[in-house]
Amino acid sequence: MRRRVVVTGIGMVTPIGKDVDSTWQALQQGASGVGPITLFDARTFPTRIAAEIHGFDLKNYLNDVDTWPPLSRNSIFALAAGKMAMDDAGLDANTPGIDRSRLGVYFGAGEGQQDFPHFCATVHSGVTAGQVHTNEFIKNGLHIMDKWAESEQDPGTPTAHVAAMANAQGPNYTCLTACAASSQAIGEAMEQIRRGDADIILSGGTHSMIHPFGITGFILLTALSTRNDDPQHASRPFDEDRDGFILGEGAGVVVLEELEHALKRGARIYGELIGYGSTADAFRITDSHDEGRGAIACLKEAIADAGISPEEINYINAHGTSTEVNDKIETLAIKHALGDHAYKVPVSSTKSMMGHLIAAAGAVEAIICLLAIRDGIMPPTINLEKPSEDCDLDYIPGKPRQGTVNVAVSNSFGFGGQNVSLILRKFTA
Amino acid sequence: MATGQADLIDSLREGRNGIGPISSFPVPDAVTSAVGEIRNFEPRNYVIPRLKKTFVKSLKYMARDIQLAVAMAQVALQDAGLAEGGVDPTRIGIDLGAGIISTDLQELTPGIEKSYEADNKFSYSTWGTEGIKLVQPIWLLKYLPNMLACHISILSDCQGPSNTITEGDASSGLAIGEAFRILQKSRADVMISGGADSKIHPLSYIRARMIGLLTHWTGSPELASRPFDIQASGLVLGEGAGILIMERLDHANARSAKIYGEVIGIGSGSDARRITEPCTGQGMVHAIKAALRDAGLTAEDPSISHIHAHGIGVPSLDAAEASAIREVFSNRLDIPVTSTKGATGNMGAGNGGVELISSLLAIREGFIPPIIHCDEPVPGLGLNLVRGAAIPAQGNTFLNLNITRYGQSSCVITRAS
Repeated sequence: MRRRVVVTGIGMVTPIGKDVDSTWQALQQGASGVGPITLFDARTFPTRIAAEIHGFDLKNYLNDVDTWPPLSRNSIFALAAGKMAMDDAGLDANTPGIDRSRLGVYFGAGEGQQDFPHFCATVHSGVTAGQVHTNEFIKNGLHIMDKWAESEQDPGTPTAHVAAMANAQGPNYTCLTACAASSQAIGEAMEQIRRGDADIILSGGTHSMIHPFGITGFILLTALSTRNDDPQHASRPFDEDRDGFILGEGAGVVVLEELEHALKRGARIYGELIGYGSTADAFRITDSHDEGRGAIACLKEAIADAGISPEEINYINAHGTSTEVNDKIETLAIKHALGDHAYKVPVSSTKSMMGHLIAAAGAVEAIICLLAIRDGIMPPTINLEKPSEDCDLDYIPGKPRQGTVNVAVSNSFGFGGQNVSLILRKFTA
Repeated sequence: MATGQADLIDSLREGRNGIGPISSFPVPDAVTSAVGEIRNFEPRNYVIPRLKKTFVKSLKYMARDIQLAVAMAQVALQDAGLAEGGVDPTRIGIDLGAGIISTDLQELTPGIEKSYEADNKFSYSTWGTEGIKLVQPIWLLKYLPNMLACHISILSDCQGPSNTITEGDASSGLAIGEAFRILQKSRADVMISGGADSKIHPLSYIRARMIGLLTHWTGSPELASRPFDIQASGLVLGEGAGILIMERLDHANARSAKIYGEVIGIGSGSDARRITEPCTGQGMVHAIKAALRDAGLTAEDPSISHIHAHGIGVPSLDAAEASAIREVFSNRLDIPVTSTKGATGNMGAGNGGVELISSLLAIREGFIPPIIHCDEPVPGLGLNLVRGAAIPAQGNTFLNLNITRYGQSSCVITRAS
């Protein structure tokens, strides 16, 4: 019999709440975390709104903040959510009886924020007649750029910090599959525990792309909403008037634990991770496959891995980015993978409230699935006023829905045709 | 250092050197000119005729790291007899190591320059209205680490599991481990794994120097990369791709595929220390022990011919790695230890793939490749370093170690066929 994997701790920091409870409350209230960008001067950018985390202070999570070097937003969110999840699971860096070589970390993390002002200053310092001279660029960069900001750009850095915080000496992985990264991390971490490579893995993701280069990149791909005059209604998954996604930021961390290990130490169990699918569209770097080929295969793979029938699924937390293509193709994929049952399953996109956390999105959404399972409440899709023609499922518009959730699915799809689905189930021995 | 198998085998046997003064762009006196650079790389030469047109059209969307990976995936697929298909597309996946891909500076220069006002002040306002428009629309996607895998998947129709590991210099070792798990569980029949990275970039120079990793070598650039040597003072920036076709044995046998070797054990671990504290090597101890256990081997097993260490030439990392090897192999301190970074420099996320292939090819030819430029080992390392010249291999199994500056470690054990 294969080793079963349960979730024994959760932690998250999102644009609508700086911990699990406040985020969960805000989700039930249908709150929006979207507003004007304040992290830098975006007043003339084609998109100047985002879902930022305001007033974040790592001191509220760690009591030894002064002992850490300067940290990026990716790292502070990761440490906060990681610590929260460890506390929640009743674990710390010194908990006796934990084999540290079998306690791992697996994160989906974006590249750290590129240090825009210093980068631009360095480029400018090295330009003559419109050309960058690399010898000047390097020479000046060594004085202009900031050591810690550069160090933090390595996507494996938050993973290293979290391992240090948790004294996790076991398997240590960082992956980056665009918007699917943290779901992918959770899925592969589960496979490591199933195989016996670890007993506990802190998994999830962290990301902030709310910086000039991040916004620029997505603007150029015409992926972002430009509803600048009405930020709270800008993220409107599945709605006829949707015009792109809203960047969010934050982190989500789950403590994945082998079932017997969790039972032996009397850990509280939020739910069981039972299914994982990962596929590639193998189609285009910019667009999803036009018939949802990869997404359908991914959902089916996760369902097969979970050993359930599609009819057992009670709730789907959609990728639901609020872009024209995603919401259409995802709807199509759900219908293909679930058949008639697709019309009976409530589906919602919590990105309508917190925007798109990119590499951190999937982990936060998996946690939302666990809370839906725990409390029997499914969060709504807000701003869904008139579903577009090709979006004809039950998206829980406006208000949360009560109902038993035994099995929940979380979808994540990324640029380049990366698809991941996770399936979580209420725990029964 | 080499392109293709035959060239690589000769280079490894003869201890040829791939390090030299940089030709890609001028660098200031403040940093070393020594790099491990791939010269005259022509990606289209590696692609099968049927895909050439599509590939050439996509090249403008591919940063150099991506070009290296896609080209070597083509070579590997051809070598495996799979370049024209032969596997159910839903049963072939990709798990690659990739690094931070730095943006081409010139691509952003017009926008940045436009945004500088007369008083040398950067105007966000101008960037927002005019600067952004001067960047090409696809810019972001050219530099996403998962694009190595995505371009390969599109070109060769690989619809199976797809992941990209971004854990610095340990990336491809970890990716190979994950591909191994995926195949064992039969989530796929074939996995394209390994990794690619190019550190030959002005930003890589700045980062490596600021973080304190770049070599301070002032002698002849050819001699700058010095694993375990007393004169080592840091790494040499390199670039490379090492792509493996990993396949379930039953699947490979059914199609009578040529088999180079078998991955038999994987392990990963971490120092779990603050990044401001020195590397301990504890993560590597866990990684090696886990991989040995996974392979069902003890450290004393005579089939283990050698350890291909990370051996990056950063004194603190080399010392930590040596200490980990000493701890696990305490009853067998005469085990040969090598590192090919003296010849290649640091290929970042490309390391693990290239180094596994190097050891595998060498051992099939009956030799262990040498460390070059380790003229006088750091005293007290306590390792049996293969220095200067290749030695005959005893045993058909070897360990590949890779470690990040944070002590995140991977170990892959492979047995040659």
